[in-house]
Amino acid sequence: MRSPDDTTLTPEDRDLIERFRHTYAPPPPTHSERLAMQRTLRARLRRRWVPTWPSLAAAACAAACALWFLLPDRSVTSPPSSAAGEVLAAYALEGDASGDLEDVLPHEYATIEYIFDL
Amino acid sequence: MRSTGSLPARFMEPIAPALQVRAGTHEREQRFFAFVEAHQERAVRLAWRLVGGDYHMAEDIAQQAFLKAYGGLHRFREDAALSTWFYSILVNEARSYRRWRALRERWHTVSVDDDTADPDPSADPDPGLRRRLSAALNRLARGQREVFVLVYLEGFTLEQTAAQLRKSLGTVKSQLHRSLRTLRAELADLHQPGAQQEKGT
Repeated sequence: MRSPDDTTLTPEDRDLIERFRHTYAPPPPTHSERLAMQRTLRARLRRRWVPTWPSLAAAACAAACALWFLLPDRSVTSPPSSAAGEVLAAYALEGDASGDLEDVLPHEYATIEYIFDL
Repeated sequence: MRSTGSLPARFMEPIAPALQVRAGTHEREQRFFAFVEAHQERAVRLAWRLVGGDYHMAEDIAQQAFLKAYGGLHRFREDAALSTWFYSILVNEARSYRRWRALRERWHTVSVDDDTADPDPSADPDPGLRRRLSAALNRLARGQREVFVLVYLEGFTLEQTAAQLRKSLGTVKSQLHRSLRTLRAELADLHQPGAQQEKGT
Protein backbone atom coordinates (compact mmCIF):
# COMPACT_ATOMS: atom_id res chain seq x y z
CA MET A 1 0.00 0.00 0.00
CA ARG A 2 1.23 3.44 -0.86
CA SER A 3 -0.43 5.22 2.01
CA PRO A 4 1.99 7.03 4.34
CA ASP A 5 -0.21 5.87 7.17
CA ASP A 6 0.85 2.28 6.59
CA THR A 7 3.21 2.36 9.55
CA THR A 8 0.30 3.19 11.85
CA LEU A 9 -1.75 0.21 10.72
CA THR A 10 -2.06 -2.81 12.96
CA PRO A 11 -1.76 -6.31 11.47
CA GLU A 12 -5.55 -6.63 11.81
CA ASP A 13 -6.04 -3.41 9.84
CA ARG A 14 -3.73 -4.65 7.11
CA ASP A 15 -5.57 -7.93 6.97
CA LEU A 16 -8.90 -6.16 6.69
CA ILE A 17 -7.65 -3.92 3.89
CA GLU A 18 -6.19 -6.90 2.04
CA ARG A 19 -9.54 -8.66 2.23
CA PHE A 20 -11.20 -5.62 0.72
CA ARG A 21 -8.58 -5.33 -2.01
CA HIS A 22 -8.90 -8.94 -3.10
CA THR A 23 -12.56 -9.66 -2.47
CA TYR A 24 -14.20 -6.31 -3.19
CA ALA A 25 -13.09 -5.95 -6.80
CA PRO A 26 -14.63 -6.81 -10.16
CA PRO A 27 -13.13 -9.61 -12.24
CA PRO A 28 -10.39 -8.21 -14.49
CA PRO A 29 -11.70 -7.50 -18.00
CA THR A 30 -10.64 -9.74 -20.85
CA HIS A 31 -8.73 -8.34 -23.80
CA SER A 32 -11.86 -8.37 -25.96
CA GLU A 33 -13.84 -6.55 -23.25
CA ARG A 34 -11.18 -3.87 -23.09
CA LEU A 35 -11.28 -3.41 -26.85
CA ALA A 36 -15.07 -3.38 -26.85
CA MET A 37 -15.11 -0.59 -24.30
CA GLN A 38 -12.67 1.43 -26.38
CA ARG A 39 -14.83 0.90 -29.46
CA THR A 40 -17.91 2.06 -27.58
CA LEU A 41 -16.01 5.06 -26.31
CA ARG A 42 -14.89 5.99 -29.83
CA ALA A 43 -18.47 5.69 -31.06
CA ARG A 44 -19.78 7.85 -28.21
CA LEU A 45 -17.08 10.41 -28.86
CA ARG A 46 -18.27 10.82 -32.43
CA ARG A 47 -21.97 10.94 -31.77
CA ARG A 48 -23.85 14.20 -32.10
CA TRP A 49 -25.95 13.45 -29.10
CA VAL A 50 -25.55 10.79 -26.48
CA PRO A 51 -28.99 9.64 -25.33
CA THR A 52 -28.31 9.14 -21.66
CA TRP A 53 -31.17 8.82 -19.21
CA PRO A 54 -31.02 12.46 -17.95
CA SER A 55 -31.21 13.83 -21.48
CA LEU A 56 -34.10 11.49 -22.30
CA ALA A 57 -35.93 12.55 -19.12
CA ALA A 58 -35.38 16.23 -19.93
CA ALA A 59 -36.67 15.69 -23.47
CA ALA A 60 -39.76 13.92 -22.14
CA CYS A 61 -40.44 16.78 -19.69
CA ALA A 62 -40.02 19.37 -22.45
CA ALA A 63 -42.42 17.44 -24.70
CA ALA A 64 -45.00 17.16 -21.91
CA CYS A 65 -44.78 20.90 -21.17
CA ALA A 66 -45.11 21.78 -24.86
CA LEU A 67 -48.18 19.56 -25.19
CA TRP A 68 -49.78 21.12 -22.13
CA PHE A 69 -49.36 24.63 -23.52
CA LEU A 70 -50.42 23.71 -27.05
CA LEU A 71 -53.57 21.78 -26.21
CA PRO A 72 -56.57 24.07 -26.99
CA ASP A 73 -58.91 22.98 -24.23
CA ARG A 74 -57.54 23.47 -20.77
CA SER A 75 -61.04 23.51 -19.27
CA VAL A 76 -61.70 25.82 -16.34
CA THR A 77 -58.05 26.80 -15.97
CA SER A 78 -58.27 28.88 -19.19
CA PRO A 79 -59.49 32.48 -19.00
CA PRO A 80 -63.11 33.18 -20.08
CA SER A 81 -63.61 34.06 -23.73
CA SER A 82 -64.15 37.66 -24.75
CA ALA A 83 -67.87 37.02 -25.29
CA ALA A 84 -68.18 35.70 -21.81
CA GLY A 85 -66.17 38.67 -20.61
CA GLU A 86 -68.72 41.04 -22.11
CA VAL A 87 -71.60 39.28 -20.40
CA LEU A 88 -69.62 39.25 -17.20
CA ALA A 89 -69.17 43.02 -17.51
CA ALA A 90 -72.92 43.33 -18.00
CA TYR A 91 -73.42 41.26 -14.91
CA ALA A 92 -71.11 43.53 -12.98
CA LEU A 93 -72.91 46.67 -14.21
CA GLU A 94 -76.52 45.55 -14.17
CA GLY A 95 -76.50 42.99 -11.47
CA ASP A 96 -77.94 40.04 -13.33
CA ALA A 97 -77.14 38.72 -16.75
CA SER A 98 -76.78 35.12 -15.79
CA GLY A 99 -79.97 34.03 -17.52
CA ASP A 100 -78.83 35.43 -20.89
CA LEU A 101 -75.41 33.98 -20.53
CA GLU A 102 -76.63 30.56 -19.62
CA ASP A 103 -78.88 30.46 -22.68
CA VAL A 104 -76.45 31.88 -25.20
CA LEU A 105 -73.08 30.64 -24.00
CA PRO A 106 -73.58 27.61 -21.81
CA HIS A 107 -69.90 26.65 -21.76
CA GLU A 108 -68.71 30.11 -20.76
CA TYR A 109 -71.47 30.35 -18.19
CA ALA A 110 -70.31 27.11 -16.67
CA THR A 111 -66.79 28.51 -16.53
CA ILE A 112 -67.90 31.74 -14.85
CA GLU A 113 -70.19 29.85 -12.55
CA TYR A 114 -67.28 27.71 -11.52
CA ILE A 115 -64.92 30.64 -10.96
CA PHE A 116 -67.33 32.99 -9.18
CA ASP A 117 -69.53 30.36 -7.63
CA LEU A 118 -72.74 31.96 -8.94
CA MET B 1 -20.65 -4.71 -22.27
CA ARG B 2 -23.41 -2.16 -22.70
CA SER B 3 -24.87 -2.06 -26.12
CA THR B 4 -26.42 0.89 -27.94
CA GLY B 5 -27.11 -1.09 -31.07
CA SER B 6 -30.83 -0.34 -31.03
CA LEU B 7 -30.33 3.40 -31.54
CA PRO B 8 -31.54 4.97 -34.77
CA ALA B 9 -28.78 5.38 -37.30
CA ARG B 10 -28.99 9.16 -37.28
CA PHE B 11 -27.86 9.18 -33.65
CA MET B 12 -24.72 7.36 -34.72
CA GLU B 13 -23.71 9.81 -37.44
CA PRO B 14 -20.13 10.89 -36.90
CA ILE B 15 -19.09 14.46 -36.44
CA ALA B 16 -15.74 13.31 -37.76
CA PRO B 17 -15.49 15.92 -40.54
CA ALA B 18 -15.41 18.66 -37.95
CA LEU B 19 -13.03 16.69 -35.75
CA GLN B 20 -10.54 15.55 -38.32
CA VAL B 21 -10.26 18.50 -40.66
CA ARG B 22 -8.78 20.61 -37.94
CA ALA B 23 -5.07 19.98 -37.63
CA GLY B 24 -4.02 18.36 -34.37
CA THR B 25 -7.40 16.98 -33.42
CA HIS B 26 -6.61 13.52 -34.70
CA GLU B 27 -3.35 13.53 -32.79
CA ARG B 28 -5.12 14.74 -29.67
CA GLU B 29 -7.58 11.90 -30.03
CA GLN B 30 -4.77 9.38 -30.38
CA ARG B 31 -3.12 10.68 -27.22
CA PHE B 32 -6.44 10.58 -25.45
CA PHE B 33 -6.99 6.93 -26.36
CA ALA B 34 -3.50 6.08 -25.19
CA PHE B 35 -4.54 7.59 -21.86
CA VAL B 36 -7.79 5.57 -21.97
CA GLU B 37 -5.89 2.37 -22.59
CA ALA B 38 -3.56 3.03 -19.69
CA HIS B 39 -6.32 3.90 -17.22
CA GLN B 40 -9.47 2.11 -18.30
CA GLU B 41 -9.07 -0.96 -16.10
CA ARG B 42 -8.35 1.06 -13.01
CA ALA B 43 -11.14 3.52 -13.87
CA VAL B 44 -13.75 0.77 -14.16
CA ARG B 45 -12.51 -0.92 -10.99
CA LEU B 46 -12.59 2.35 -9.05
CA ALA B 47 -16.10 3.15 -10.31
CA TRP B 48 -17.18 -0.40 -9.46
CA ARG B 49 -15.91 0.02 -5.91
CA LEU B 50 -17.49 3.45 -5.52
CA VAL B 51 -20.94 2.53 -6.78
CA GLY B 52 -21.15 -0.77 -4.98
CA GLY B 53 -20.50 -3.57 -7.38
CA ASP B 54 -22.61 -2.80 -10.46
CA TYR B 55 -20.23 -3.70 -13.29
CA HIS B 56 -22.18 -2.33 -16.23
CA MET B 57 -22.88 0.91 -14.43
CA ALA B 58 -19.21 1.15 -13.44
CA GLU B 59 -18.23 0.78 -17.07
CA ASP B 60 -20.74 3.44 -18.07
CA ILE B 61 -19.48 5.80 -15.38
CA ALA B 62 -15.90 5.29 -16.53
CA GLN B 63 -16.90 6.02 -20.11
CA GLN B 64 -18.79 9.16 -19.08
CA ALA B 65 -15.75 10.32 -17.16
CA PHE B 66 -13.48 9.72 -20.17
CA LEU B 67 -15.89 11.60 -22.43
CA LYS B 68 -16.12 14.53 -20.02
CA ALA B 69 -12.37 14.62 -19.68
CA TYR B 70 -12.00 14.67 -23.46
CA GLY B 71 -14.61 17.42 -23.78
CA GLY B 72 -12.94 19.49 -21.08
CA LEU B 73 -9.32 19.04 -22.13
CA HIS B 74 -9.11 22.72 -23.02
CA ARG B 75 -9.94 23.57 -19.39
CA PHE B 76 -7.28 21.26 -18.04
CA ARG B 77 -4.62 23.09 -16.06
CA GLU B 78 -1.11 21.88 -16.71
CA ASP B 79 -0.15 22.28 -13.07
CA ALA B 80 -2.40 19.36 -12.15
CA ALA B 81 -1.65 15.81 -13.18
CA LEU B 82 -3.93 14.66 -15.96
CA SER B 83 -4.74 11.44 -14.12
CA THR B 84 -5.61 13.31 -10.91
CA TRP B 85 -7.94 15.54 -12.87
CA PHE B 86 -9.52 12.57 -14.65
CA TYR B 87 -10.11 10.62 -11.44
CA SER B 88 -11.75 13.63 -9.80
CA ILE B 89 -14.21 13.64 -12.73
CA LEU B 90 -14.76 9.93 -12.24
CA VAL B 91 -15.47 10.32 -8.52
CA ASN B 92 -18.00 13.04 -9.34
CA GLU B 93 -19.72 10.80 -11.87
CA ALA B 94 -19.91 8.01 -9.30
CA ARG B 95 -21.41 10.44 -6.76
CA SER B 96 -24.05 11.53 -9.26
CA TYR B 97 -24.97 7.94 -9.95
CA ARG B 98 -25.27 7.12 -6.25
CA ARG B 99 -27.49 10.19 -5.72
CA TRP B 100 -29.71 9.10 -8.59
CA ARG B 101 -29.86 5.56 -7.27
CA ALA B 102 -30.80 6.82 -3.79
CA LEU B 103 -33.64 8.87 -5.29
CA ARG B 104 -34.82 5.93 -7.36
CA GLU B 105 -34.73 3.74 -4.31
CA ARG B 106 -36.79 6.25 -2.34
CA TRP B 107 -39.42 6.67 -5.05
CA HIS B 108 -39.71 3.16 -6.34
CA THR B 109 -38.57 1.18 -3.33
CA VAL B 110 -35.91 -0.59 -5.39
CA SER B 111 -33.41 -2.16 -3.08
CA VAL B 112 -29.78 -1.11 -3.51
CA ASP B 113 -28.83 -4.70 -2.88
CA ASP B 114 -30.51 -5.59 -6.17
CA ASP B 115 -27.88 -3.54 -7.94
CA THR B 116 -24.96 -4.84 -5.98
CA ALA B 117 -25.45 -8.42 -7.02
CA ASP B 118 -22.25 -10.07 -8.15
CA PRO B 119 -21.78 -9.63 -11.89
CA ASP B 120 -20.24 -13.05 -12.18
CA PRO B 121 -20.87 -15.05 -9.00
CA SER B 122 -19.18 -18.13 -10.41
CA ALA B 123 -15.88 -16.25 -10.60
CA ASP B 124 -16.08 -15.16 -6.99
CA PRO B 125 -14.69 -17.59 -4.43
CA ASP B 126 -16.70 -16.06 -1.61
CA PRO B 127 -19.76 -14.07 -2.70
CA GLY B 128 -21.06 -13.94 0.87
CA LEU B 129 -17.94 -12.16 2.11
CA ARG B 130 -18.03 -9.80 -0.85
CA ARG B 131 -21.64 -8.86 -0.13
CA ARG B 132 -20.76 -8.29 3.49
CA LEU B 133 -17.82 -6.05 2.68
CA SER B 134 -19.96 -4.18 0.17
CA ALA B 135 -22.71 -3.60 2.73
CA ALA B 136 -20.21 -2.40 5.35
CA LEU B 137 -18.63 -0.01 2.86
CA ASN B 138 -22.03 1.28 1.75
CA ARG B 139 -22.94 2.14 5.32
CA LEU B 140 -19.98 4.51 5.61
CA ALA B 141 -20.49 8.22 5.08
CA ARG B 142 -19.79 9.26 1.50
CA GLY B 143 -16.52 11.05 2.27
CA GLN B 144 -15.19 8.18 4.36
CA ARG B 145 -16.10 5.62 1.72
CA GLU B 146 -14.42 7.58 -1.08
CA VAL B 147 -11.26 8.15 0.93
CA PHE B 148 -11.06 4.51 1.99
CA VAL B 149 -11.48 3.27 -1.58
CA LEU B 150 -9.05 5.74 -3.11
CA VAL B 151 -6.25 5.34 -0.55
CA TYR B 152 -6.46 1.81 0.75
CA LEU B 153 -8.02 -0.04 -2.16
CA GLU B 154 -6.71 1.88 -5.17
CA GLY B 155 -3.39 2.92 -3.69
CA PHE B 156 -3.55 6.66 -4.32
CA THR B 157 -1.41 8.76 -1.99
CA LEU B 158 -3.04 11.05 0.54
CA GLU B 159 -1.96 14.07 -1.51
CA GLN B 160 -3.46 12.66 -4.71
CA THR B 161 -6.67 11.79 -2.90
CA ALA B 162 -6.91 15.27 -1.38
CA ALA B 163 -6.49 16.78 -4.85
CA GLN B 164 -9.02 14.43 -6.43
CA LEU B 165 -11.65 15.10 -3.78
CA ARG B 166 -10.71 18.79 -3.41
CA LYS B 167 -10.30 18.36 0.33
CA SER B 168 -7.54 19.32 2.71
CA LEU B 169 -4.94 16.76 3.67
CA GLY B 170 -6.12 16.89 7.28
CA THR B 171 -9.71 16.10 6.28
CA VAL B 172 -8.57 13.15 4.21
CA LYS B 173 -6.48 11.79 7.08
CA SER B 174 -9.28 12.09 9.62
CA GLN B 175 -11.85 10.53 7.26
CA LEU B 176 -9.46 7.70 6.55
CA HIS B 177 -8.98 7.08 10.23
CA ARG B 178 -12.72 7.15 10.94
CA SER B 179 -13.54 4.86 8.02
CA LEU B 180 -11.04 2.25 9.16
CA ARG B 181 -12.25 2.44 12.75
CA THR B 182 -15.89 1.93 11.67
CA LEU B 183 -15.07 -0.97 9.35
CA ARG B 184 -12.87 -2.60 11.98
CA ALA B 185 -15.73 -2.49 14.47
CA GLU B 186 -18.29 -3.71 11.97
CA LEU B 187 -16.19 -6.57 10.66
CA ALA B 188 -14.50 -7.48 13.94
CA ASP B 189 -15.61 -11.11 13.71
CA LEU B 190 -13.42 -11.63 10.63
CA HIS B 191 -10.39 -11.53 12.90
CA GLN B 192 -11.69 -14.12 15.31
CA PRO B 193 -9.77 -17.42 15.43
CA GLY B 194 -10.85 -19.71 12.63
CA ALA B 195 -12.43 -16.94 10.61
CA GLN B 196 -9.58 -16.88 8.09
CA GLN B 197 -9.77 -20.60 7.40
CA GLU B 198 -13.54 -20.40 7.24
CA LYS B 199 -13.29 -17.69 4.59
CA GLY B 200 -10.66 -19.61 2.67
CA THR B 201 -7.87 -16.97 2.78
